[in-house]
Amino acid sequence: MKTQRLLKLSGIILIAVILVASLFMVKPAKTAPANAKTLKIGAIVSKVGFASASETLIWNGIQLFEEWINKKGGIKIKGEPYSIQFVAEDGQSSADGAVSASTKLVTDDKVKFIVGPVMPFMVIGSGSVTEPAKVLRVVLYNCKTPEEYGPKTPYTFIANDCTVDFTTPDLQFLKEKFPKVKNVGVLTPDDGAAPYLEPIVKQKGTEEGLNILPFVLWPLDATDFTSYVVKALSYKPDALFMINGWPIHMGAMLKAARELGFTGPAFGCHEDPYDIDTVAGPAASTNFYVHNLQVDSPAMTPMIKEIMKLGQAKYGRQSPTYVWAWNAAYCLTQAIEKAQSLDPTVVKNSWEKMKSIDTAYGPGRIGGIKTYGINHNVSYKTPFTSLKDGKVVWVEWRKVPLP
Amino acid sequence: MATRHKYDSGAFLVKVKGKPFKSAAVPVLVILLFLLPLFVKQPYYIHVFIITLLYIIVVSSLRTIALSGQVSVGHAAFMGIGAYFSGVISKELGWMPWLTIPLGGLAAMFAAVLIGYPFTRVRAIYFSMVSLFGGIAIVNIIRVAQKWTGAIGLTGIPPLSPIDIPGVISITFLGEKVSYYYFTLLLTLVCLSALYRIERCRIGMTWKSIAQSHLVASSVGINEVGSRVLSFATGCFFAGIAGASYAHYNLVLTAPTFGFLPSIFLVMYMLVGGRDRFGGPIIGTAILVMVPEFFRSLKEFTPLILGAIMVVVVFLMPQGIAGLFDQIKARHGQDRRRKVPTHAA
Amino acid sequence: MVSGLLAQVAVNALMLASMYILMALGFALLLSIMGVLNFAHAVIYMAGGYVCYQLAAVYGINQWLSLVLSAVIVGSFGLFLERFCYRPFFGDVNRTMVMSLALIVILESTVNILVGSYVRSVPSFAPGVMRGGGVSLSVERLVTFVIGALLMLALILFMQKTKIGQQMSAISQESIGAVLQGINIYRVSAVATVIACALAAVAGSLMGAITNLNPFMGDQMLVKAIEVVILAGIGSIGGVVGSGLILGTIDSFLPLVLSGCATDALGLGIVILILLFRPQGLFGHEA
Repeated sequence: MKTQRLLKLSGIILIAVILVASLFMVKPAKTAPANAKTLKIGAIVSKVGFASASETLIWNGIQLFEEWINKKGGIKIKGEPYSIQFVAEDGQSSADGAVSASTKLVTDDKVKFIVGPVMPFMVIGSGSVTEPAKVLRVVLYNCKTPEEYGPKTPYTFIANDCTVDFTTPDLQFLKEKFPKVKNVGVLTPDDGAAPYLEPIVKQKGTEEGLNILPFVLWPLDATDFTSYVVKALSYKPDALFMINGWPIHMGAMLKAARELGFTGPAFGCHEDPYDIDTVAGPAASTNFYVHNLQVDSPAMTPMIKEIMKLGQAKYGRQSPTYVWAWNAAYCLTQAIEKAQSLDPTVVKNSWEKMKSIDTAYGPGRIGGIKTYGINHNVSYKTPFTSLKDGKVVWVEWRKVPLP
Repeated sequence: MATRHKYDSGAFLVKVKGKPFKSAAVPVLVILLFLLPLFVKQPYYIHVFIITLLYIIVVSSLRTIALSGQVSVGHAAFMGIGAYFSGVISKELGWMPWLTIPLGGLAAMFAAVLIGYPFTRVRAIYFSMVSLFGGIAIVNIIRVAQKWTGAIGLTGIPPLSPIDIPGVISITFLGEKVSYYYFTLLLTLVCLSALYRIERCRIGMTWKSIAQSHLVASSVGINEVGSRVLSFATGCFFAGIAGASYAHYNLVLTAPTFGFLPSIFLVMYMLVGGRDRFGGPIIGTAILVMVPEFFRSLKEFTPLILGAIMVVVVFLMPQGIAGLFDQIKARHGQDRRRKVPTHAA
Repeated sequence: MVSGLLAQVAVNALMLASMYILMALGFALLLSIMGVLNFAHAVIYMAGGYVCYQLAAVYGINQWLSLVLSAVIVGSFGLFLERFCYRPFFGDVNRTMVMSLALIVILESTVNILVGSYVRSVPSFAPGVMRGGGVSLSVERLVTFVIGALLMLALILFMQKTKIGQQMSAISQESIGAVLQGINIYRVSAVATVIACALAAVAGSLMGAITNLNPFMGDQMLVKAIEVVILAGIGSIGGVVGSGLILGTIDSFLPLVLSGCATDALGLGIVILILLFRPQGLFGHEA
């Protein structure tokens, strides 16, 4: 009985300690501005939840960039050198998490610039906080829904090409290398983007003379994709487009497709080919194309090679996802430096008018009016890699029309 | 003063007479909450308090349903019904949120009656399981109705319209966390008072008697089905109100917020706080929602704090945290000679 | 060609069913026999997959051996689980549930911290595809099907033929009566938990090879497992086969006619309807 009471007492004390400690975790309101020589940039990445598998790599890429740019002396605004510090908040793979994270970053850490998130529901969630607060955001992807990105989100930029930008180059590649292809099947997540994507993709297909079959939608929390792939294959496609998703989804769909006997070419969008290879397995990872990198190919730009070196040193890993994240941060700091101001509105106006910008993938231009209605896209020659017999094999740099 | 008897793991015959507040603790707490924005300036922590208060309403309403012996493991879905209903109506039809929030509550209540009635066929754990699936199904239906709810999420929900009585008072809500805080605080106080009063009324007694033994209750002429549906509807009404308020605060809604895991967490908040006392869900929700938020800087280690609290409570506090008071009272109070049972047989 | 499509979908249904049954077996055992809602099944499933990955991919041990070892290791964790996490709360459904939820939270974050959430896949157990009659079937899924069926049979035989198995059946039918007969309820639940954990580990490893591993993979699996078990009915192990088949068929055919989230919604709607008319499940005890 005595030990019981002792245990009870210690338990109560433990909880009391946690409660008191939590009060100390609350940082006092910043009365003075942050160190004038450090520029804090926020990052919304998912550390838990299904997206954390890939978004942790994004955070690592951002950290590699932070070290690199500070080693170079940071950036100079009006003669003052500034070191860059990235502050991450966990988006928890959900819209609420994104709202919470962006609230914390904007109101508590008082950042004026943010990198991330990726998925449309998180972009919309965080946008509801950052846009009214006029915080400049560089999101990492776009799925062409109007609330996500467009004239209604004037403070959002994108530093890489996205789904709809890849469609025409992919269709043209099909025509070049697989002239017998007539019908293209499409698999896409049921996340609300499909109704917007379908007409655009169909139209581009008509332009290129290829027939786009009806879209097959899969729920985001599906564990087994076989049924959906069966449906897509029942339309007898010659090629498969897998539009949007993470490697865990793409790899599973590719694997299912190959197992069901589909041997035609399959396309992803922007995902990490190494992760797709891991999930799909060596047997299925063939005749697959994605707009990403083969990290050890000699065709990589000097910056990419540098990123791989740094990644290997710090994380023991060379992932193309590092480049994706690095690039977003890199474009952001360039824009800030070009504008010579820490005011997001000034940077926004300046970025829109930039004639060119350097990216990790090579020289880039600013575009976006045609496709998105807003001149906030960084566009460059897109990398194009394939999976061949279980290995990641570089194809080429392909031109992408200015969005 | 009636003595206390403990039956099973749920039904407590609480004193019907006696002071509602054992000590001055509750009024003091309420006053402190009103003064909170004076010493907490960061909007982020006000945000945490707002969310916590809303969830306190939801979990307390869950307890109201649990009073009648029905532990609903799909309660978050009803919060979602209220949220989406109010959000969609105010967005599409342009009605004021002040009007659509109660409507959201009514919508949730309506759904509860619709669903709760067939669900009265099952009891205890079977009810919990069926409510679990019901909750998931509701969320999926919300997802499927993309035309109104937006498959990615519902955006563009109007915030609370400003209160503008010229010369007297002018309050805007958009972008003003403090205004939302006071609104939420008042809403919480009203809802909790309502739930508390309902519980202490005859209908509350009826529910508790059904929970103890539905056979005996029926034999005394209590309409088991009607009472159970009423309890379910009442709880869901308040959940709907809280959900609708959440919608007009967050301005963005996504279906997973009201899904399977959140429903389970709601039950957990109630159990950890203590199912037997009215203050249980309040304490449980407050600790389990706010503490991980304060420890946010630990990033991926944050859930461990949550786990630690849960483990400590489940091992050492069988009646939850609120039950601590009962245990201490029983040990040092009038019934000194009675042994305190450590857990129900 | 429609018949080819239907045949393929039918084969898929069987495969899906076997995956669901495999995932649900351990959960069904604990719920029906011990009356324990073991939500922690989700993380044990996940842990089993990671242990197998660690053994097979990192230490290079033969896959099948890794599978067995993973089942053994995780099964022994079941001993700890029963003794320290569930036995203290025997009979108290609420506390058991909170405890299992605490386990989920702690184990998920621990794995996330220790191993990271990077994309991983358990190396394939049986690469290759079989084709015939217009139907393709990956050998891996066939193997999963066979293993699932074997384990199912083994479990049923165990319950009927061995002493401990019979004791389990007795406890599930009438626990107080069983104790009065001298059955050591604690020992039996320990055995049941070990078996349930081992089953979860096997399921996790196989699914980790068919799909992929991540610290949160158990969350979605848990919903499916609960669906299977509740539809089968509390108190029935053999019924898991039936409900697994039904759910596998639903999930395999519906995507053909509906799209995206509608398939989930309708599938669940069917389950709820069945439950409302037969709350004890298709094969379970009377409510």
